[in-house]
Amino acid sequence: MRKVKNSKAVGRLSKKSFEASRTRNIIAAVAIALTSILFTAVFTIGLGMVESSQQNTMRQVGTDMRGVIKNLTKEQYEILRKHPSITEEGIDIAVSAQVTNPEFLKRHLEMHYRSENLYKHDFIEIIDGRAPSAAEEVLMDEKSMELLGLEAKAGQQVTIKMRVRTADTEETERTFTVSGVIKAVDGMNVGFLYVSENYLEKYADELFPMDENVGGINMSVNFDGRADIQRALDKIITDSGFSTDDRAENFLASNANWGYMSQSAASDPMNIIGIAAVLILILAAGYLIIYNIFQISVIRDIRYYGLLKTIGTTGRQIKKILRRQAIKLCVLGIPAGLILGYLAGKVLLPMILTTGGSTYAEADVKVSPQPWIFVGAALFTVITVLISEWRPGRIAAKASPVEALHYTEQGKGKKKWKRSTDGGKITRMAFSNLGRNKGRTAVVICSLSLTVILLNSIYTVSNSLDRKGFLSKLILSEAVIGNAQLWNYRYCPYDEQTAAEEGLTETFISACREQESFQEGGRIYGDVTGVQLSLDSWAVPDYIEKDKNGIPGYWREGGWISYGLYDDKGELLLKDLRAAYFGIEKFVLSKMTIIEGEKDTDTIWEKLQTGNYLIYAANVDDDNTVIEEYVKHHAGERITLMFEEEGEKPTEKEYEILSVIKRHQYSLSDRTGNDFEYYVSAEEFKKHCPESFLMNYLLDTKEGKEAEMETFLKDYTENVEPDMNYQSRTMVQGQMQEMLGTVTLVGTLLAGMIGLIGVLNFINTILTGMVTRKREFAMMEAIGMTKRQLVGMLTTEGVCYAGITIICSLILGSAFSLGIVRMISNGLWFLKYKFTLLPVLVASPVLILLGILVPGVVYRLRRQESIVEEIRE
Amino acid sequence: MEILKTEDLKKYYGKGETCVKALDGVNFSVEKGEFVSIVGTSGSGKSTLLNMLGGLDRPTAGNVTVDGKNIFSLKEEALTIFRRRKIGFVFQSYNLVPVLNVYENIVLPIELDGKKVDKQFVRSVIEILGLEKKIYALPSQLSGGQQQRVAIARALAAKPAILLADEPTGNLDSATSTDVLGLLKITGERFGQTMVMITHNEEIAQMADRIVRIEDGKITSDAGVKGGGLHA
Repeated sequence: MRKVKNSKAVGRLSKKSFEASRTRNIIAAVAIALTSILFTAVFTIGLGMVESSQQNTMRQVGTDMRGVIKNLTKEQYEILRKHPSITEEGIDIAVSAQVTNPEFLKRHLEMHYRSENLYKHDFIEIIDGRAPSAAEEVLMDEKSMELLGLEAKAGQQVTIKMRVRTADTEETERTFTVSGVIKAVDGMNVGFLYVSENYLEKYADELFPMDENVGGINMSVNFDGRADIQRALDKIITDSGFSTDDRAENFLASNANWGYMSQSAASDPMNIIGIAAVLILILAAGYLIIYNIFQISVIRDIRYYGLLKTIGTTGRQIKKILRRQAIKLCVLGIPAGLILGYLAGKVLLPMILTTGGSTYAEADVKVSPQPWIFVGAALFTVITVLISEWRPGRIAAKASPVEALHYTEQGKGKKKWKRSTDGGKITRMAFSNLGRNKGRTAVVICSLSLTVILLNSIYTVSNSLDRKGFLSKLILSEAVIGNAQLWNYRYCPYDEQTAAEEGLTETFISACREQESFQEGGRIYGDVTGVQLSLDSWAVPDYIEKDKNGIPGYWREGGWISYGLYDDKGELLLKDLRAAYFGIEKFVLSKMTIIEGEKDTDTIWEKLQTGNYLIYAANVDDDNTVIEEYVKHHAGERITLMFEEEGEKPTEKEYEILSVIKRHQYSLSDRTGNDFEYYVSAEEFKKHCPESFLMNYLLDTKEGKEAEMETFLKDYTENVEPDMNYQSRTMVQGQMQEMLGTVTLVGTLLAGMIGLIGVLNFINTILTGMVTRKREFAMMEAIGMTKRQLVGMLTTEGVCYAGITIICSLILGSAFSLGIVRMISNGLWFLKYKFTLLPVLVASPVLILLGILVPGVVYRLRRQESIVEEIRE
Repeated sequence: MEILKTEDLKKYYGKGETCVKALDGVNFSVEKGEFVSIVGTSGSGKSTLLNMLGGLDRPTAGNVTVDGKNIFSLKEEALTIFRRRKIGFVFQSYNLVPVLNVYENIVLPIELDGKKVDKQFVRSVIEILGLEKKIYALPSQLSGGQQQRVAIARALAAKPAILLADEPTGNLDSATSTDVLGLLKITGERFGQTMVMITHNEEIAQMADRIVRIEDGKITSDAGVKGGGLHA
């Protein structure tokens, strides 16, 4: 077909028809805005999650630069930095082998020079003062200043003792002025001190050439592109005439920033499926609303479209007229939606990210107004609108000119209605009206029911939270205290030095014991590195598999996990099995769940004291049930443990397994998870391992004094011994509450959204009914049906909708609850499924009220509109 | 020259016992420039015939040829385009587009076709129909007679091969009816327009060159009008 130049006529028709349907436009524009709010919010949250997770990873890595080339000489650096692909670079040089001030014994202080342009990339945040410029000026972190007994303020003098070069035996002492204070890095037990460029120049002689710790230049680089960073780094190295082969003479080591590789939130298929599901849900929701609006407007104007066809408008042109209007509505609705959606997403993001105990620093939760958010959301909204407009457009395009004419002629009135004042008839009429458009009736009932079912499910989940189970899973006593490293999963002392860094202090324990609120407590000592179970002494149960060397292990995700120790090449290094050896005090015994062997705690305690017995902890799953195929020992068996001695043959000792308990990863062990966990008395422990291997201390408070202890612990770990940490029931309960809050919030928002769609659809349906039955109503009024009776009929229809919805919700809600919700609850260890239909019962009166109010209100609104229309026609 | 021709045109509604034969084998033709009235009682099938002639509805059997083209061989979209180029309609209920003003209504079929409006021709049509002062008015601001005149202007503006009028005076009082019909006739003469008009009003039918009577879906008589007509 030739292309005709008819856009002017189509444009005018479109414009004029658009202006003529103001009410529809307002509703449609609001619906479109709503849809785009939802899309934008989802995009904001989705991309915000990616960005935040990346930011979080970068912070863990310590930089957001693409990569680093390590241990360069000045000459090598000068060559490399000229590479054309580098957009930004900066260097870091260690300027001291060791800082020897006694204040930094437990928390080391590292001295570096770092290019100032790297500060912002490496998360170095100056909280007071400025960057150093003179040779005597330094930046120092707040915690290190505190350790020196200074306030975290710039302008003070600090004296640093150090060994400059690795080989130095003598200490050098230098005094600096703190030009600026930087924020200490969270979760890192190291302090930093940064010197100026002038310092580098002044002490160049002592720093260069580099040795193994000092003077090597680490060059951080940035370049365009995020894909395959390692290859880009390798290219910079090889282009500059160096090698990436570690056997070559001119080898240079480099590292890509793995923060760019593990875009965990984005690459997780579950997240992608989740976001896709939400997008489709919104698309469907938006479709239902917008489609209905267009559908109604087309049905109302079908005569008009028939007329346009009679005078020669083609179906294609009619579609175009409608599409233009749809696009115009998009232009009106989308911008507002984008802004509101972005703001909503920004508010919701932190709440969603911190669910499920994820640790996000507040600064890391961020989302920037990336163009993708808006482009994506706008695109999806337009797609939704065009899909919604498509079918009504087809209906309008197919409008038969003859039927349009017939429609007018019908005004003569051929149908006959029986005059009746009988209310029963009106009810019957209302019922049969529901069946007129079964599809739309179904959609309304479905979306309303879905809301109620969703609310019911959310309530069921939050109501099913097993508070006691949740608590006992995470903590066994009122509080547990230990070194902060224990909570970083880094408790693994192997000598006095590491024990001092990772162990609990006796001072903290006595401080707790002195509290008025303290009731009882018990120490747990732990050696998780130097004790092995002799394989020869262990009668390996039949259900535990062994490899070709006879070393037991198990399959996980298709891979063989050996209990023994192999090196990279598959050589067996150690056939004896690494064990975790714990010494406990009696109070701890009272917290254990004994499942096998001797059960009486007093007898157990007595026997443990002899030093011939031990308790074995069997693995449990998330539901705290023992995993039978992982149980390695049973009561009564005898095993031999081997204790490493420095430079000597290990000493051995045979024990009898007295009892088997359920393992408790968080309170009774080093939190990581060992395959062979044994408990002896504290006295027995001290015979084989250092007393300083003090892992944690469980304590209970007096009734009603929990809050006092909490306050004390919080204050003590913040101010007195900041290296120590604690966990309490109060804290865990808080986390639980927070998680519950987020689940409820997200769920309620979702339910609200679907509920809104349901109500809008309901209004739409009633409205459509009135539009298509306008003539019928007029006729009924003409034959004597009063307005009150008419509204009565409509109200009955509305109540019917509500009634069917309630019945559907009860039936489907029960089915959904007993099926899906129960399945999910059983899959999550902190939930204990409890059936309830309370939300359905609460929602029922609301639905009935809606059923009564909506038709009446809509009818009144409609009346006003139709008068205007009548005048116009 | 034959501009319009029907061949054994049938339109049945329903099946079996309830079958209604709205048209049952209609054969007739119209010469170029002729003014034909189709007369029949209510339910005789005259409106159905007009709808068939204009390609608004498809027949059960038979053909309609307009300007040498069998219109029902065309697909929906092509038929619409053919209709807006070759056929002008005037309806009892005017069927003006309520959101467009008089002038826009008149030129709409031309613009929809992407053609350039022959302004001089349109102006002369508007003048003849006495609508000069109303061209910016909306249909709702006009009287019935005025609206029907706009409808006539719209039908003529595209210079159709044939003009079909369905009870054009059905909604008008008798004085206005005579007025409108007079204008219809004058414009027909002036532009040499072929016209087919449906009416149940004998007096109005007499103004045509030829009267075709239809009863129960069949043509019962087809005769010229003595002394009447445009080309008598």
